[in-house]
Amino acid sequence: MPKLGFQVLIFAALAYATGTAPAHAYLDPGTGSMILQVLIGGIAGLALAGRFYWNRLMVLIGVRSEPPAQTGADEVSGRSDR
Amino acid sequence: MNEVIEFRSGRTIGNAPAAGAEAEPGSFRDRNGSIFYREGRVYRTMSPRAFANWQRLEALPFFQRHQELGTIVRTRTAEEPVEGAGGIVEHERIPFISYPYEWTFGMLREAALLHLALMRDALADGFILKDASPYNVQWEGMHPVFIDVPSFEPLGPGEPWVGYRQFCELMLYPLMLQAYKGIDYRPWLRGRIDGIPADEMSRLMSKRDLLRKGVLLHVVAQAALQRRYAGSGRNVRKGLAEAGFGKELIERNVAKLEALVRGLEPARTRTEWSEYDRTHSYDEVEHAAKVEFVRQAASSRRWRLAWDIGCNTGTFSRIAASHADHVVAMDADWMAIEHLYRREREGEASRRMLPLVVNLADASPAQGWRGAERKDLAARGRPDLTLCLALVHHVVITANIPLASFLDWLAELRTSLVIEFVSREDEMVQALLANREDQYPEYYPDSFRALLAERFDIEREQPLKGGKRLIFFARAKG
Repeated sequence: MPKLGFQVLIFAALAYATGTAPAHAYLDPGTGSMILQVLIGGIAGLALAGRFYWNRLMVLIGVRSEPPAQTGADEVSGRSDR
Repeated sequence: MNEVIEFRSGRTIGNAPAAGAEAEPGSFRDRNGSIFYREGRVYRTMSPRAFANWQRLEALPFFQRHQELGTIVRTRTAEEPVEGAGGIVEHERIPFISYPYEWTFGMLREAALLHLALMRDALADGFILKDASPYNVQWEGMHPVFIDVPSFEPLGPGEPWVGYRQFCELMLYPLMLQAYKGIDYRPWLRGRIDGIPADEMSRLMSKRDLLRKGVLLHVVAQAALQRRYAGSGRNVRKGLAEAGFGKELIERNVAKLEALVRGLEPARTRTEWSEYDRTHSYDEVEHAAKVEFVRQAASSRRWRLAWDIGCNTGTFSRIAASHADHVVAMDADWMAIEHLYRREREGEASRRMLPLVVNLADASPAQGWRGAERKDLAARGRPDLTLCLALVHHVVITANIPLASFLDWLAELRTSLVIEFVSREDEMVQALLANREDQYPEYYPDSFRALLAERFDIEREQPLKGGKRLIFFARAKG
């Protein structure tokens, strides 16, 4: 399985994902299912997983602070009634 | 129209749309709008947010293209929003609502492929489908139509494909179950409105199945990741957005899924396929006589909706389709329906003929929330013509349903009826009776005719197959 090493790396990297804000959809996307979408991304997914892991690491060692809970995704996706 | 449904902050204020309107009880999950019917027409209320999306959507090239193709239900604004309230759109009416647990493999696969094509096209224009339910696909005959217009939403930066899991549970896994394991997915979909969870699908896979296309990633890895993150409460969505999750990842996933789904074929069917080319026990002359009887009955007027129950591969459904706006062709044998679908989908009657896998002795019930989210067969549209050919022996002898009860059910449909009685002299009945107790004293031509005449006005009767069968044309009483 040539992809197995890659998959293990991503599993390990994504295991650090943390946060508190709720998702915004009437449908629960499923945390595991969201992460899998990175696995499916191949090389692009690998780069993404690297950044994801790096961000987590920076937060963990205190170099970077936890970003605000809301990312403003509502506004940009036109999901706000304001 | 003056009735405006009030919405505040996307919340429905009251669910009864207006006087003379009837709310669709299955339309409630997404609070941004719901379906109601008025004077036989189909409307959808939309929250201000959903209506704003709709106004952007209807201008997009991909949407207009699919409107022309008819692959997204034709929709127009019926009522602009007034003072913060939502708007209303009108949809073209679907001839007969059907559910994935009644579709044959090829239809579920086509619905999945339509979904993926819409995802691909919407993403190119900056939109996405926010869910992935096969119940959002209906049929104009044998051509799929996506009906849930508010499912299209603008895609925000870094947003993942929220509907991916649902796509797997309700479309990919059922198709895989049939393709990889030879297991009928219909009882699974009928048994659970949300489909097959990754964890259960994973348990159904053998070690050998891990090598099959898509299983390791979409089934096993997804199940493992879902277990890993179950109840964690972590906001992965935010983390992914920050790390630069982009729509090219979704596009890649969609493209791979398209290739995967397109390659799926029902297991162990190739050798059995040819058996369906000959579908009856008549010689050619007698068959022609039966065809002529049905043709005459069917052509006696124009019908709005015809049912062909026990349609097999649809020989008589095609005749009915020449004289009816729409025909629902039903058989319990999914391979017969698959055969019908594959052969007719490019044919002349393909927009008027809907093939469904239905076992009348165990037909789809009303189910879901309050038993009203999904409707039973008759509640979705009673036929004004019903063909019931070479079926009654299966109902009475195979399924042990009393003849009178079966005829009662037909009479309740208030339909005209072409019905064939298969007598005890017929080899098909003899095969059925060979190994079972004969507990069918009413199963004789005279008692059949008497029971039929109590419930219908018999217009014509003709013997077939040298008198081994009788065919009747009857009309609903009164």
